[in-house]
Amino acid sequence: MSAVLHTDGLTVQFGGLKACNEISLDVNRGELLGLIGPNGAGKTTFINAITGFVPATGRVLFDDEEVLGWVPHRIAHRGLTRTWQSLELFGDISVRANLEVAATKLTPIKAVRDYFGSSQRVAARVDQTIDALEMHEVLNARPDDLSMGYRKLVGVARALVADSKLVLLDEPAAGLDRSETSWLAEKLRQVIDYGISVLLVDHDMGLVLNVCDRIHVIDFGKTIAIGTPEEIRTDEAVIGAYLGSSGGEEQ
Amino acid sequence: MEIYLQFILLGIGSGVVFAALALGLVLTHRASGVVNFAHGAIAMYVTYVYSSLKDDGAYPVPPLPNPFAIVEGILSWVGITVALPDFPTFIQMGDEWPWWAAMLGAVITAGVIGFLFHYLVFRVLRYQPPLAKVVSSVGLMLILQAAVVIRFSNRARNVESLLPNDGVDVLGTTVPMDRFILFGLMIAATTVLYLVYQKTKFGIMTRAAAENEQHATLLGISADSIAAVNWIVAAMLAGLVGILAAPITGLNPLNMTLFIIPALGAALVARFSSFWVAVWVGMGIGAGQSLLQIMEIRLDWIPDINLSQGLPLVVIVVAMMVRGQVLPSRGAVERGRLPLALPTRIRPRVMTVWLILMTWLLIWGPFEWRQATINTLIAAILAMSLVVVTGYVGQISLAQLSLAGIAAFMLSSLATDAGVPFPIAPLLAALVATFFGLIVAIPALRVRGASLAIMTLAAGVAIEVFLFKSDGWLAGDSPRRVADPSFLGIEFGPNSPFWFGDGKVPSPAFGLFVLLVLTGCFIAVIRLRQSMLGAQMLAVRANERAAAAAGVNVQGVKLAAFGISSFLAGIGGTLTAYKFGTYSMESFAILASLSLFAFSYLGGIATVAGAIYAGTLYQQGIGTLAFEKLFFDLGRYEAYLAGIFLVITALVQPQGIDVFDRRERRRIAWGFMVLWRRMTGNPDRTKPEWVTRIYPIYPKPQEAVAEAPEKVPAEVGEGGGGS
Amino acid sequence: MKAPRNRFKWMVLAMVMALVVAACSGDSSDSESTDNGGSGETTTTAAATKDPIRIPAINQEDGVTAFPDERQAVESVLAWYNANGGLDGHPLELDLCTAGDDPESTQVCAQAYANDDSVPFVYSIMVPNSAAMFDVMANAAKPIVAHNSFDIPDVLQPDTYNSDPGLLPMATTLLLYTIEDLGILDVGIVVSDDEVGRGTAEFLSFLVTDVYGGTPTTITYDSSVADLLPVFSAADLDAIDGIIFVPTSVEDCGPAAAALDALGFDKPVTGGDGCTAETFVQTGNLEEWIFVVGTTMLIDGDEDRNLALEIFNDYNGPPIGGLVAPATMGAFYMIDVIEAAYAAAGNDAAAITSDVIRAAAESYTGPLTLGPESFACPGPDPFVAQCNQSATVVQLNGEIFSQVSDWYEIDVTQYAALLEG
Repeated sequence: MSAVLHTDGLTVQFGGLKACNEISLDVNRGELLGLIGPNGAGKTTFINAITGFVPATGRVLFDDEEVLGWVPHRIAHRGLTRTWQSLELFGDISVRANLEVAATKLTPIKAVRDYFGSSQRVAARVDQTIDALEMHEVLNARPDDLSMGYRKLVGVARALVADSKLVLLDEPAAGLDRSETSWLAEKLRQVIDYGISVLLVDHDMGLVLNVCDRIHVIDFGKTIAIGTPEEIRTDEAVIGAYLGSSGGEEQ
Repeated sequence: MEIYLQFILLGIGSGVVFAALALGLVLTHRASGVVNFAHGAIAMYVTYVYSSLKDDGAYPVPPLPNPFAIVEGILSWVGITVALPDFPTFIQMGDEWPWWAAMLGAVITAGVIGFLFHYLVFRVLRYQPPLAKVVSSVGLMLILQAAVVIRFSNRARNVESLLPNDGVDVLGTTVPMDRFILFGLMIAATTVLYLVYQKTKFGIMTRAAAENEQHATLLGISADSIAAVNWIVAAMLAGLVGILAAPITGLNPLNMTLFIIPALGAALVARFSSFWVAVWVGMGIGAGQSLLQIMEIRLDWIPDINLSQGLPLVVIVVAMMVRGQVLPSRGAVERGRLPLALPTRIRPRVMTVWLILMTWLLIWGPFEWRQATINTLIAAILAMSLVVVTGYVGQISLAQLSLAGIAAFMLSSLATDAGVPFPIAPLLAALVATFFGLIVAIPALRVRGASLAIMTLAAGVAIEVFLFKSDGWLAGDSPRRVADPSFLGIEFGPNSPFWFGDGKVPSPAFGLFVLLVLTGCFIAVIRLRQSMLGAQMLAVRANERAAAAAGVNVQGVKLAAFGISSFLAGIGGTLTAYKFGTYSMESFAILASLSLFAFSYLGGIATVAGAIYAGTLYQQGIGTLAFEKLFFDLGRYEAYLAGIFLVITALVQPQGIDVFDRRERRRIAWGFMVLWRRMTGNPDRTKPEWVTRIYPIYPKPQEAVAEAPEKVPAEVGEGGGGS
Repeated sequence: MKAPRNRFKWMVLAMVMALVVAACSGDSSDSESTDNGGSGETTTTAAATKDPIRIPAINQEDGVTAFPDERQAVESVLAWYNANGGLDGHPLELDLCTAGDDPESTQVCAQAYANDDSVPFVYSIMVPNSAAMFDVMANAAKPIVAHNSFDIPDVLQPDTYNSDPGLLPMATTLLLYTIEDLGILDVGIVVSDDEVGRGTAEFLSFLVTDVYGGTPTTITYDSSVADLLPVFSAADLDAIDGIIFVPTSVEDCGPAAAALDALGFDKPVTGGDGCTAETFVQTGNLEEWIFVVGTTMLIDGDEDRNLALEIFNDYNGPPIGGLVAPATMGAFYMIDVIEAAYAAAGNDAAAITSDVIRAAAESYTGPLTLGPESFACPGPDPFVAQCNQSATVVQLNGEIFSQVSDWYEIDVTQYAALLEG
């Protein structure tokens, strides 16, 4: 099977409301898949469900293993990581430590060995990520001291550094201007080149249409279209959904 | 069966008190998202005011700052004694007041207290994290309690009942009339409150503000004035209950303050939002305590271990197990943050100087300074246990001294009763404390913030009641003993001989031993901050969900923190045991835990150096002694001032003294330098580089430290939080 | 701008701090001063004028659990004593170290006296955290002369002389009175649920069943319960002919009396002397209650009572009831010990050493002013810290206490059994 992530009938229910309704989706290896939909379509809920933060029904196969019902940190260790819309960086520790936290699978024994200074830190992978994202200047700063652009970058780096197979990016372009967004798009393509798959959730249609290999559109918790950017651009259901909602997000 | 119904009825008296306090807790939480640990203290204070007005016609004036006293103080330094006017301690108005006038006066006082609490403290702290609010309310509790002790010298007071208490025969038992009247008043008050909050515009606005303050503000609702009204109502209610129930409960500075614990349990089950649930659960705890009385007698399978005092804990733990994070979020953005967990660097030069100074003080210092240093060092270790669990992981624990007590009493059992030799006995004892710390942590894993504070407070009470007050290895009600520690033939207890010094107690040997242990703990906790585990702790503190998504085993990290913290508390407990030689529960009481927490916050709860400041300020530490030597013995004012400083710290310097010191010391030094240059006529006003190198604390965007690369402009604004 | 605002904040803070500190200094100076000689000296004997003899004392009076009234009683007794000539012309001067309710402060006080070579002993007025001073004083080999033994281990502490026998002997006296004088065999024993309370109840129950063949009912309560009504209801009061109430904490007297009153319990209730405090008496709920007392100063019409009233009236004393009574008795015991030591030292105040004090305390016998008929220190082994004394029983009627029994000899040896269990 070439899909790194395969969901089948994923449903999340909050009381009577189905935030995700039977979403079936495949992310292929080395693919940058866009997941779009109007406000409240259930995109973030979908990410929360497959990373173990909200209870869901259906199937989630990650790297050919059923991960539904796992605790979040176990899913992360398996190689499925994510970023947050509101960043949620660890404000009190340096950028480097932010990355180190995410790069380490800390077992009690490892923790003790690290405490007494006898364990090999995860320096190599952290350095690799830092090199790839060109973020040397900010390594020793605390995230709270950084500009918004950099904080976004740290969020992405933190998701990538954990030896991920698939990264779920929740609105990475929110709050970025055009030049920053295109810089981000460039970085995302680089990430794919490293062999990491990406599921990109964003409002910015420009970014998604430009950068993604395929696009998955949901509305009211249901899939309404799947296809290449060209197909989506002309899909009537998608146009209808976007016109029907608040219309042309951020456009 | 009937007998159990009878006892449910008999529990009305306790139940009404808990229910009314719980109702007030719900009100204040709705008003400003505060779990008000001082609520019982308000009831107590107001009842004292009532009693003083009614019996003596005297209104107690809380201790107030008097500007004249500064003049007096300065003059007394140069040997001149003058008597300038003071604030009166009481305002005398006639001999006795009729009950209704006294009640009116007292309830107005309650309203003023409620308003001031809101206006001066919690309004300011609205956007601060729960830690600051918990600390402030603990501070206010200390202030009210100390004010009563200062004015009424903790004599229990007699409050005559306003209600008839002729017996009424119901269900084959006799229940005094006043219980039913109280119950009726309670239900009436709840109904009124319920209707007001359901039907009137004010109530709807309160609920809107409680659910989402920002939206409410957009709708033109002044969250501030609504909160003020809620606070006033809550405080008045507390005062009324105090006055009406004091004939049943008795009035002294302690008991009503502590009725807050069952009330917190009831409010917690009500998720701090439902009046009726709070009231019925409060009544239920009263009824449950009453039922346990008869069940302990009638049913053989009920163990006779003071269950009624443990009931609030059971209610709290069950509520948390079933409902998880029970405190609703208020939709108010927390702009404030937890204190910065700045790393403390081990700077060899500073450490050496400090160690030499301490060693000198502990060997050749006057004996009272030696003892103060020992008290400081032990308190610093106890404060470090809070640095780990509260500072690094953000989990509020109010049971640290109870855990320390477990180690202390275990030490006596091991070393004195079982003859376990020195380094093994205290280490084993600390491990036993760790074990209990982990037991406390398990139900705590799902909660944080104020819920956790409530839970650990109840756990502390449970440890006191079930372990210390019962017989067995951990008994501590009557004094326990432990001999001076000795290792390889060298004795180093407080009474051991030492080669140098004046030969007086405490022995320098013990001081040096404590210093050694403290240095070990100091380095260990600093190392923890730098280790991966420490980074993960801070990640958990910053954001549990994000930490989990980054592969951090959040529960595992929390358990580790509770474990390490309990071990440190245990070490502190065993040192306390050695310090006294003969000791009992008083050293490890629940109020002492609260005051340890308060001082740790004051020193800086998130940094290791902050723990040293906390130890310095802690009771009978170096700070107290220095103040006493310079000025005068604070005596009963110590708790009062500690409370005031605590609230001020939470308001203006939530980072604590350590971070303040780091940030401001260069600026202060620069100020002195400018002054010196002016005085010496030096025209140079250029700032040296070290002055501008101010420690970055929450810089605003324009103060951001990092230079942005070309592709990412520094200024994106703060609107990036999503749509 | 940030800086000026910050500076302003700190200025305000500094001012508040200064004001608060200063206020307290002003405040405390006027509220803590208790000028004893100020009030009218009615007696005619010449006041003591020689060098004062220092009485190194510790009292617990800062904090929530505190005993300022008891200290006030001691001060007023000393003022009266000094006004009447003092000890051979030497006034006794109280050198008071006040402790808070943290054991640390008690230890600090004890250390100050242990390290002071001019201090031969320590007078402990009312210190529940007594444990904190034991090791310090024992190491310094200086005796403790104390009012009160707060816990069972206190009475075993070597080199300590407690004038008040503490909870257990007093409770036993109540039991003897209840059974022998009132003829009640079905006794309710009310104690607080802690080690001292349970130990007391266990011992009393043993006496009732094994010595008298009666039926004891133990009723334990805990102070955190807001309403003690269920505690007493659960006990089946119909089956009890009388209650012995032994509170570990004096504060419990009020709520307990209120609950019994509410239940309409009209059989005899006997209680510890802590309950005789004015605040409880005034509630009216304690009418007809019976109390055990070690002093004569509560007994209406007794000449000792008149003396006590006169002293307290003239020398700024506290209200007379509660623990003030045993504290006053302790003050007289302490004075007697100092007098004996002074005589043994050849009427030389400077020659009073620890050994002299110890010898005086150990050989002390005789009726005590304001105290019991017989009084002897120390108690028999292992009760080395406990003076043997007698106690009597009084009843409250119309806010007046009258003696209803003879003096009971308290024999502490009967408690030896307790130490094994």
